[in-house]
Amino acid sequence: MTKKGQLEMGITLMVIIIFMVILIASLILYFRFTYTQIEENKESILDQRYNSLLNVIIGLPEFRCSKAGVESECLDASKLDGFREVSDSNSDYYKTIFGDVEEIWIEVIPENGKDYYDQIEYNIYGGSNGKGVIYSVPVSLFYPDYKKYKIGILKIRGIL
Amino acid sequence: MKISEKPIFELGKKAQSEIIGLAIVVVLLIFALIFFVSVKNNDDNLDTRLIRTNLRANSALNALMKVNVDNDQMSRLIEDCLKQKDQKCDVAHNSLKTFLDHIFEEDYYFKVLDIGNNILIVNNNEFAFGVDCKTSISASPYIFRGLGKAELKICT
Repeated sequence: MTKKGQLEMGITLMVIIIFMVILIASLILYFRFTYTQIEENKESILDQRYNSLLNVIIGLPEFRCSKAGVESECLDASKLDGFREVSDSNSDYYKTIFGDVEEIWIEVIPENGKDYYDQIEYNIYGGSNGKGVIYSVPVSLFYPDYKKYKIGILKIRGIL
Repeated sequence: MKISEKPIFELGKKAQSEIIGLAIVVVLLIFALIFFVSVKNNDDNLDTRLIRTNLRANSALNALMKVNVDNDQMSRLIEDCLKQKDQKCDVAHNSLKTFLDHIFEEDYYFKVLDIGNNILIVNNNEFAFGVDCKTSISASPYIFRGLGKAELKICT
């Protein structure tokens, strides 16, 4: 083989090696990016789903305040207080509404006392040992026996 | 065995400039790719954040205006405060701060404006809480008829 041929072989080899390195690096980057994007899409879909669910829960007549058939923008604490029994006896129905959420509950700013007016948490659905992501929205709670409003944080724990 | 008499750094000027040109093109392509990827990701996240924050902002403002402080609702306290700047303003101011800190983990900006669109100030207490941010989602303002309004923004 002539010197020129050897030189050209060397250059070709170098080009192939560099090309392979760039190709492998690009493939690794591409797959990592795709994986991250899939994860983000999953997160985004779950985020939208659970935020829609928060909206649905706020609008459920089982919780919503109403007076003489007219609804107002708050949750009735007396309804929340007794809801657990209702959901347990109609679990199939509420499973279709709440889907695969692990837990739904409302946290209220604490005050002293034992009445439902002073309850600091309303457990609406599911158990409390989940590890899923928590989505929350502030809500207005109405206590009809006292004719007073408090602020609660409606929280749902979604699946991971 | 000797492959080449000239090492690679002694290539002709034309070859050197071609390699530099190629390198520049590759670098530009990489920058374009990174830019595209980052812009696309931001767009996706923004849509989801907008939906979530809008619900939070409106619901939070509604809950804040309805909550009872002692025997008065917050909206009534602020209304009275806008009419006659008395001691109820201090109660409203302190309660607002407590509730807002309890509700939000993220940055927010809440303010009460009088009819002239100035922030309400009573006894050196400014009815503006949190930090005004560049990008935010605003709740529909709560109007105190003929007196002013309350606005809430959640930073995104």
